[in-house]
Amino acid sequence: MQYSLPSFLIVSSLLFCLGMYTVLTRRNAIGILMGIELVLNGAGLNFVAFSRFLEPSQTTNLLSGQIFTLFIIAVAAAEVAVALAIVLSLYSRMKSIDVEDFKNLRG
Amino acid sequence: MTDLIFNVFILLTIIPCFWVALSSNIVHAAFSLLITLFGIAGLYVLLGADFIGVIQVIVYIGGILVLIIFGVMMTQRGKLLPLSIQLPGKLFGAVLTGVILAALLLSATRTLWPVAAVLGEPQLTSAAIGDLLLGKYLIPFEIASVLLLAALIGAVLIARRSVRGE
Amino acid sequence: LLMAVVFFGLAMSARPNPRRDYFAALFMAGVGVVVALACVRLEGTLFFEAYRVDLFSQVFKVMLAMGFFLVVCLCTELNGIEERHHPEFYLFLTTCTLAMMMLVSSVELLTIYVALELSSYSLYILVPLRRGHGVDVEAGIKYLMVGACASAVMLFGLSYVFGVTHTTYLVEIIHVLPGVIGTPAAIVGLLLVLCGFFFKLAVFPFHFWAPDVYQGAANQVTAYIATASKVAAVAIIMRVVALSGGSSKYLVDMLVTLSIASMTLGNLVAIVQKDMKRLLAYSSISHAGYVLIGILSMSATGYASAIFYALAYLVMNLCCFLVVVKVSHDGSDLKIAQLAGLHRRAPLLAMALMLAVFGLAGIPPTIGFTGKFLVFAAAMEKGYVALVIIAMINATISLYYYILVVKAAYLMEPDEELPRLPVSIPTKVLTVALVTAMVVFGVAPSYLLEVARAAARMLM
Repeated sequence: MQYSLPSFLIVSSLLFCLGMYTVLTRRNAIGILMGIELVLNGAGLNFVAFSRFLEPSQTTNLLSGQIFTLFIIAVAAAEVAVALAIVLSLYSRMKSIDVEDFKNLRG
Repeated sequence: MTDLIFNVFILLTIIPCFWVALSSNIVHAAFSLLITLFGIAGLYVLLGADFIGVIQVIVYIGGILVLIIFGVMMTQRGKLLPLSIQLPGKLFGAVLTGVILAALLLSATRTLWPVAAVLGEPQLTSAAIGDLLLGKYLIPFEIASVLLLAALIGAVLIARRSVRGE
Repeated sequence: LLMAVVFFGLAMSARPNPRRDYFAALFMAGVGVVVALACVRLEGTLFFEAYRVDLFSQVFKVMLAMGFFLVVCLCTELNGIEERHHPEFYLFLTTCTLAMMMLVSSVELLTIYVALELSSYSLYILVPLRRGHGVDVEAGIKYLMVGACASAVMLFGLSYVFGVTHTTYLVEIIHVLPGVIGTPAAIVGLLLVLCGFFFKLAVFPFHFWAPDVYQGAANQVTAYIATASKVAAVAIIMRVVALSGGSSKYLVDMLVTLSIASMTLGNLVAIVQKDMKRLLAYSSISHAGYVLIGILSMSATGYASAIFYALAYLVMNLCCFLVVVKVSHDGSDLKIAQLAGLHRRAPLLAMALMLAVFGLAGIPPTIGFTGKFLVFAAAMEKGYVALVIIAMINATISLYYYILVVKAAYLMEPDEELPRLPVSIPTKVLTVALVTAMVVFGVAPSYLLEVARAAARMLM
């Protein structure tokens, strides 16, 4: 594929679909997180590709696409932090839950 | 020449993706995500967005991926985390993504993009991004700072609560 | 903007200093409402046109501030969450309101995205904060996973919209988009963007999270999610739908099918619900369908009716949650059966519940009826007769399970004698205020309607 906008869009669409597929079929919570990361990266790539190839209109100069990607990375970082906090707290409770089930069974 | 590099980076991005989606072993998936992110960073640099490319490497791979791998390691010993909202199996997922892929590919190729006639030589962007960030995009910058603050406090709060085993 | 500063201060002050009690939060929220009301008339754009303050955004800001204030009033004895976490609880409620206020008046794609993320993340953190047992964390995970995925999909849509119009300012997009709406990329982009917002409103294909999160989260948090975040979602969907200039037939058909689906599904499933909060969750899904009717008629009256309906929905739902919070004093989930004999234990609450439930069903005297009536009138005007008929049928179906609730409160006798429910004075005042608001605006909605119509015109 030659170095042009449509090929970039194809790559980012592939990323999007693979990410969605991961989210839909993964059993593991952290696997779903990875899927979401893929989709976010696909969107980021799209933004940068658009800002590179399309000629700038008056309000947006060359870099507005890249600003968007910068924010995407920041938001993704916050997202992973919160998601892992919840996953780990569920995971630690999950072990404690097992213990409780066991207790109820006996009780 | 650029086409060759371009194709190399594309392969670098897409091939590991299949492992992330399909591989049964979660650790394999995490490391293949690493390779994909490197591929994307390369694509960014190829697109003349050098600042973003570097940021991608540092923040995304250095920070987020380390966190994900840390998470994977932590939960490795126990059984799988069951999630009760699992959509009905792989077939449904495959079909849905296939449809979306077709729609996206169609739209990507079909619409005629007003491609710029002359592609400007990519110059250093970090300075320009800096003044844009504090100039035109001040509001999102502020909100993003509050977002990171809230995420920070929230993550600590939830994690600390579970460690104490309430 | 003044209000954003106030809330920023509030967020800072609510930083987790130890024993910050409830009244300070209440005072701050009160200040928020006053400030919101004060600057309703404010006009103008700020921050390089990325942040537009106009009547449309101000009306929603007032509603958001009111919602926030009322929810804070609900948390008199915040028992659903340990004492240690109260300051943080208020902090996240404040950041969420701050984000939604930004969201309502932002006219630039990036600001919209970041504000939406902030409001959703503060909610993701609030949901698992509940005391003790693990069901809340599971709800938290589910909410987070579905939410993050929806926002990622929305982002991808945004990138296509950015690609087609190559500008991040909504003002320009409105000029450019109708021209290129034909291209497949524009349609795909807009569709994906709407998916993200439909998640927030819990419309049909994206409603899976609602019942579990409503049940899993603490009562006050559920009250907040049910009311305030829905209002913000309505506001932003209106901005995006107005974006497409009502030209694309394809979009309208999609909205029609979605609203029918979410109405019928919400009502049908609600019938079998036992848990009060799950019932309220499904009723909120069906109400999302009604609001969509107002939005999809894409006319000034349509938008005005949607704004009015959002306000009506806010008031009624808050009243329901007031009762839920008061009855389940230990912050646990409330089965409908537990409502039995409410009229003897707390007559005022029972009456308020009855009125709110009638409002939700759309019985004449209340605000709910006028809301539904306006929405149907707007839809009829645009000729969606079939849609209105289906909506009517749904309203009658919803009547059935609402009556079920009232029957439980009034007719059923509790198996064992429950203690007389102590209702503190401020809650009495609050309930009376909510009840009068419901009736007054039901009977004479003209003033509110005028404000809504003016706001809607601002949008076109």
